[in-house]
Order: sequence, then C-alpha cells, then structure tokens
Amino acid sequence: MAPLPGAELVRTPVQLYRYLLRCCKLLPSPAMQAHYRHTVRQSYNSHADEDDPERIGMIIQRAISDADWILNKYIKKTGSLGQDETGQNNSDRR
Amino acid sequence: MASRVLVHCVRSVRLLQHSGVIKSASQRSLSLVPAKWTQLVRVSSPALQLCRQYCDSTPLTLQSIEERVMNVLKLYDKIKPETLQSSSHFMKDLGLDSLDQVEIIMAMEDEFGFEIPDAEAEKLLTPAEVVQYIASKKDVN
Repeated sequence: MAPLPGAELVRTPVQLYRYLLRCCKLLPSPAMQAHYRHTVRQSYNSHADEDDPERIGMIIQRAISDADWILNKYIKKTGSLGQDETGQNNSDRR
Repeated sequence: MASRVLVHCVRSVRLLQHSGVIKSASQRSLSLVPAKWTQLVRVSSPALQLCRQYCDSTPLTLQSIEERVMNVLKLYDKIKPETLQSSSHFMKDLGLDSLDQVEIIMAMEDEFGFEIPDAEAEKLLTPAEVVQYIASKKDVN
C-alpha cells in the first residue's frame, strides 16, 4: 500500500500531524489507534526543539514512510484495515 | 447483531409499504388468517409506525450544531469546561497548542461525519468559527 493520498502535500509539521492522525484511524483496533496517536504526540514533544528546516523536512519524510511501514505491517497481519470512523466504509449506509 | 438484523427488516418492510408493494399483499393475507392472528398483527403495527428511521438524522439547526461542538470541546481533556466560551480562542484563551487545534478539528470531523480540508481547518480557531463553518457546509442558516 502506498502512502495515503495527500502525503506529497505535507509541508509543515502541523500538516504532518493531521496526516498521521488520519493514518491512525486506519488501524484495526481502537486500542492500537490510541497507542499510535499517543506515540505520534510523544515524538512531537521530543522533537519540539528542532530548528533546522532541512532536518525538519527529513523528519517529515521519515515519518510518512514509517507510517506507511506500520500500516503495511498490520494489513499483512490482519488481512484488512479497520473501518474509518467517519463511516465511509460503513456497509450499513445507503 | 440481532438488533441490526431487526432494524434492517423493519426498514425494508417500511420501504415496501411506502412504495405500495406490500399493502395489497398483506391485506390479502390478513383476510386469510384467523381473527386471533389479525389482532396480533394489529398490535404490532403501531410499533412499526413509531420505529425510528435510522437512516436519517434529525435536521441540524445552528443551536444543535453549537450544542454538539461545545459538548465535544467539554469532553476534550485539555480544556477546562468552566473557562470555555463560544468566543474563546483555542490558543490564546484556552492555552492549547497547534497540535491540540488539529485534534479538535479532527474530533469535529468525527462528530459531524465529514472531512474538513487542511486549508480550512487551519483557520478555525474559536468554537464560534467552527459552528459557522459547519453550518455553512451543511447548508444550515
């Protein structure tokens, strides 16, 4: 699976945060989603003092590929991803 | 699961009733079954009428949007409910950072069931602005 649509548009750390939260929603279980949301937030805290734009850019690229790797790992394990909470995959809807 | 199936059945029966397909069929079958049976059937029909249609939600009003927005904000653990006002700025007044603002906007997406584009999301900095934006997207005045 390629990164989510919009990954190439991520320029700023705040955009990256929104992108990563959307990735979290695709994880199979609520516990897993909460865990990775927490991890993402912690990583932001630990890199709060970065001030070199080049390095920030590298971290953004790295984060996108890491997110992709994690999503791939769980697709292989469970065979499917969890449902998006906004109900877009909800079979109940007409 | 059982309730889901039930709702599904009820809904499809209602749909058929609306389209008039089932009306003639059920009347004919009612005349064939004994009186005891029809009573039972009659008892259950008001329940069918009262059953809520799960496929549509109550229409949104400005007031209900504001209520739901404020409710989501009150449940967010970094906001003290007593300091919250519809005009309070997320960062200046409530002491949140830009990541918290992103989380709040995503929570609004979950609450109202649609996606807010990045460019718009960045501009929503007070509860009042969020209410305004959602109202304009959902065609509520």
